[in-house]
Amino acid sequence: MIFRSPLPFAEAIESRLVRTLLPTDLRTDLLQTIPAELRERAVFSAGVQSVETLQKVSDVVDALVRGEINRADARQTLKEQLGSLGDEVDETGLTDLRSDARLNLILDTNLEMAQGYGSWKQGQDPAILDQWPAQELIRVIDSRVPRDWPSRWAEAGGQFFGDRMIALKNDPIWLRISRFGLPYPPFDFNSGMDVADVDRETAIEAGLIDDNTELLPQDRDFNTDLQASPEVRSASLREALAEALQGIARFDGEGVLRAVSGSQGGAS
Amino acid sequence: MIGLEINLRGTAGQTLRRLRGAIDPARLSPVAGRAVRNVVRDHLFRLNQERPNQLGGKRTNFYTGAGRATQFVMQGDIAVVSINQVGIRQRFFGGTIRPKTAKYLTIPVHPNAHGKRAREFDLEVVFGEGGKPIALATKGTLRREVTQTRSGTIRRRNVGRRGEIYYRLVRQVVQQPDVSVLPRPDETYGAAISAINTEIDRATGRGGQP
Repeated sequence: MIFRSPLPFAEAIESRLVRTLLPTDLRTDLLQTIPAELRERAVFSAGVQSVETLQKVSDVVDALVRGEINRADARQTLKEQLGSLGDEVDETGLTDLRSDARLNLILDTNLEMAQGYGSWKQGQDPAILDQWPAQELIRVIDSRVPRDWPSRWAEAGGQFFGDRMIALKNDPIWLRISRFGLPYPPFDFNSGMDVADVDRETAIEAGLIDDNTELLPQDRDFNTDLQASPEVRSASLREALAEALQGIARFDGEGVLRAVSGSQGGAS
Repeated sequence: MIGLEINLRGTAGQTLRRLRGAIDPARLSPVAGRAVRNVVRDHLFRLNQERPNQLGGKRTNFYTGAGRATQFVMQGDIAVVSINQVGIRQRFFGGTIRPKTAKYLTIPVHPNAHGKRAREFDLEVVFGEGGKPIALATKGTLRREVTQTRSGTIRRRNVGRRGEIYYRLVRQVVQQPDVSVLPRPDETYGAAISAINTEIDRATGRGGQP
């Protein structure tokens, strides 16, 4: 039966709910030094210090996850927030928050993170993990200059089966190929890559498991966060960030995470 | 956005009744849902490769987005596969689209306009016969320049460029249904049944202890 009403992607929405706004002047290089489990709980974008802008980003990404708006609507809303509708800017410039390239990057990365987590979480259901214990890294968007994912896979210790990049879902290879240190896609900005389930029979043929192997589901521990109030989550995140970034960044009186003098990298 | 329902009571009822007690129903619906989700995703990823936008503009990768937005939800022992992306339902069912608030729909006709809202550009209205708005175009800078040389010769030339039409303005669009945006029902149900059978085989192989 096919019907017109969609149902919420609960797991993807859950990954949005645990996030706290994190205004910061940190650029990408320094943001990368934040532990993945903290980045996974924050809404931020390199150099964006405005809480209002981050709130709007969060709102439109939530609406994208729920399937209520499309990317063009989301981008237009952000341009309205930034007061840049109709402005002529270099649309390819990633450092200009008003550009299409930067706004699309923010929207796509956040949306794909939520969907990636949602699919990963559903894939950790014991029955699903039993039937599809492995996954394959696949290209789903062609790129004019594609990154060399097979090399990245090999350097991270991944095994090839023919030319297929396959590993168990809970293999640390997924963390190692990820720029974000997370086990689910996206594994890099604008990567065009995703994962596809690989069934048990294929995983056995590939020698990844034997017939009796039972995989233990993994978790990202969002449930504990969701039981806390937003205020508690925010305070907890700030405390953890302050500790993790000692000597690199600290919160100012306005609650903006700022790089400590001399520690700022050059990338966007 | 669109949903596909996989009702195990209908698709595998007899087998399930026979095995009731030996199989945990809570394990069957998720594998059926995931199997159908996988088939739908594969189908949409394939469409993304096969169907670039007709204007030749920068791709929005609509179908890959739809694939990534595909998931399943459990409702009792029914698994519902849902594609949470704007536009997929319209493509599947077709139908008439009318503007919600504005007077006109803006239909992209220029590669630069593909995947973008008209308000993202600084455009002007082009009027047709009877002063009816028919399009949105970039602002033209075309002007006639007249100069005189030392010898007294008058030279006339066009400087700047004409505005380019980015969007056509229409009151409504009637879109034909396209059922090929989803896999065929036999593919989705086939995947669900296969996954259920695999789970049953695994469970019975474990002595009925899933």
